[in-house]
Formats: sequence, C-alpha cells, structure tokens
Amino acid sequence: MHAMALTQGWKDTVDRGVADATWDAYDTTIQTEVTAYNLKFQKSPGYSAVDWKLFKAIVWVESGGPGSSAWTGRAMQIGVPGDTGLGVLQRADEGSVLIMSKQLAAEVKNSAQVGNDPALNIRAGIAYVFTRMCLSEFQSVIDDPNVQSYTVTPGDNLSIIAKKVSTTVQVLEELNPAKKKMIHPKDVLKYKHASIQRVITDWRDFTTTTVADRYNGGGDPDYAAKLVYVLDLFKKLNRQAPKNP
Amino acid sequence: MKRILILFLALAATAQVSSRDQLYAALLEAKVLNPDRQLVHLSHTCTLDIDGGKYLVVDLQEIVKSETSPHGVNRIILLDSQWKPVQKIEYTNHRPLFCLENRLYVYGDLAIDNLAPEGNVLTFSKQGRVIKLSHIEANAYPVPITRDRKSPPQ
Repeated sequence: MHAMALTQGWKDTVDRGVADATWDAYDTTIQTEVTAYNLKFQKSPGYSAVDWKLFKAIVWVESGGPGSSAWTGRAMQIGVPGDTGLGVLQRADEGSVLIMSKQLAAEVKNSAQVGNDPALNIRAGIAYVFTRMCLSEFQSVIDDPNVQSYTVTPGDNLSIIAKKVSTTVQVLEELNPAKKKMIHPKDVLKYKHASIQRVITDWRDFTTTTVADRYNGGGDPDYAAKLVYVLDLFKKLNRQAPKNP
Repeated sequence: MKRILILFLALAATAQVSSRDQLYAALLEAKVLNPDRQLVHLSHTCTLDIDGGKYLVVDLQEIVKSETSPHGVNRIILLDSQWKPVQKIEYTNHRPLFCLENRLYVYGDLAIDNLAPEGNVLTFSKQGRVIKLSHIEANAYPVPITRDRKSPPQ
C-alpha cells in the first residue's frame, strides 16, 4: 500500500492536523469508548485490544478535520443519507446488539441527534466498526444452570418439549444422550433453561486494510492508504489534547 | 402445440437479461437502488438454477458521497424469474464470479449478516431463500479452461 495515490490536496488537508491541536478535540471521547470495548471484549474469542488511535485516524479521514462541516456534525460520517451503517445499529442487525451498550442503542435511534452531535456520531461509528469486525453464530446458551426434570407425554418430541419448558433441543440431547433418537411417554428427561442466542465467536484483525474494507465498504480504494498516512502523521504530534468542544 | 411454444418462449425470456436499462428499471422499481447513492456498477454476472427455476445474479456497486471518502454499498442481488429480489447479499471486495447449477462462486470468503461460517461458495435452495456457505480453494474452481468450453458461465 502506497501513499502516492493520495492527492496532494487531501494530504494538505490532514497535514494541518499536525500543527493544530483542535484536531485532537475528540481524543477523550474515542479513548473512553475504545477502552470500554477493550474491557468488554477482553475475553471474547479471537479478540485483541484495539489501539484507540486507529479510530482517531478514521475520524480525521472521514471528517477532513475542524475546517469541515462534518467536524461538528457527522464526524465519523455514519448516518449520511444513503449510508447503511446507522440503519444496521438502529435495527440491531448484524449482531450490533452484542456490541452497543443499552444506552448507545437507545441514543442511535435518534437519527437527527446522530447527525448533529459529533461525539454521538463518533460513538455510533465506533460501534459500527466493532460490529463489522466480529463474527457471530446462533448457539444454544444456558440461561439457568439448575437441572430440572420433565415427564414425557404422548405426542411429545424433543423440539416440542424444548418449546414447552424453555430450553433447546441441544440441551435436551446433551443431558439425555440415551434419549436422542427415541423418547416414550413417562420417560423423565433432564433439562436446564436455555435459549438460542447470537454469540460472538471470532474477531477479524483490526488492521488498516480490514477496517477500511469493513467500515468503508469498498467505496474508496484509497481508504486504507489514507489511514496509514494519518497514523504516520500521529508520530509527529506532541501536545496536550484539548477538551471536547 | 402453439400454446406450448409460447409458454416455452416466455419461460426462456424470463431468465434473459435483454437490456441493462430493464435491469436498472427493475431494481429501481424494487427499491433496491437508493436515490441517495451513486450507482457505479451494475452487471448480470450469471444465472443460477435453483429448484428448477432460473435466478439472475446481479452485481451492484453503489457509493455514498461523503465529506472526503465515499462509502461503498456493494451487493449481490438474486432476482427470481419475475425479476423480484429474493436475496440482497452485502460484500466489500468479494465480487461474484460465476454460477454453476445452484452454486454461486465469489472472490474471497464472505459472511452473510456477519454470521459464521464465511465462504466463497454460496449454495442456494428453497427458491433462493436459504443460502449455505462453504469454502473451496480458488485453484479447485469447477470450471473448464476456456479452450474446452463452448459458452460463458450461465
């Protein structure tokens, strides 16, 4: 990946951030959010702590900095008319419900607010990146570890019983291996309360290339190169970040 | 006999893409195309045979103009014989390559709705409503070399 494809005009725009501390205005918002996700998913399979500066780079790339109208509105450009990201969060699609806090899930319902509040736009954008970076599956999840019992009645099968007692066929099969193929009336089956839930099973690596693919959706062929360019610029920064505007 | 011939011709016509204008109109009518986006690519990749029916695979790429970097909305659209959308499968760079019977081969492994497993072979059933993903090595694509084939992928 090379930066030669990037236009001088675009580079001039983001280069301004090196000398202008107002470009750091959302550092606290980004750090707070990414730290919370790193804590939340630290034990999630395949997850490695993410560097918050990657998201700072996304904000610079997406907004074009404090000179743009996006900076004080859609700083991460989620919710732009025609974009699919905000709708995914609002409908809790693609497993986003596993990513967002309940508070954020409620806040993103207000499209106008996501468009006008740059901090909320950034939090929504970060949530969408995390949503797009995880892989999930529907699995049988134990809701209550206590073992219960159920006496089979005529007409029952494992699927019917699972619905009757709020468990899953998988749990019934695991706790009653001898009854997997055939059950009879008056058989007593063990079960635990369980349900089928969407569960995160893996994470993609948070590289500039993958994040570009997953967040930008293949719209800008230079997106990953732009992230690399901005991340290189950050090495030149040496200043105290101001508070959020 | 005449009725049978007419029916045959009608059925054959439903799976044909006679014009990209018609395809564009059908996707607009079905609200697959979003008026806030810029359509930058539209093509009929191939035709699947699912449960005896013909289904068009359409490769659609739209972009959303943004402050500095356009966002992409790339999708594989499956249309039934009446050109009604049956599936809209989002992808980033996994463009559809070719069809073989009820299987669509794409470039690289994609996940549908962010659900595992990922795969580069999409096997369709139940009139296109059910998709099973699996993976095949690119070197094992089940297509003949060009010298040995008489027509492009259907």
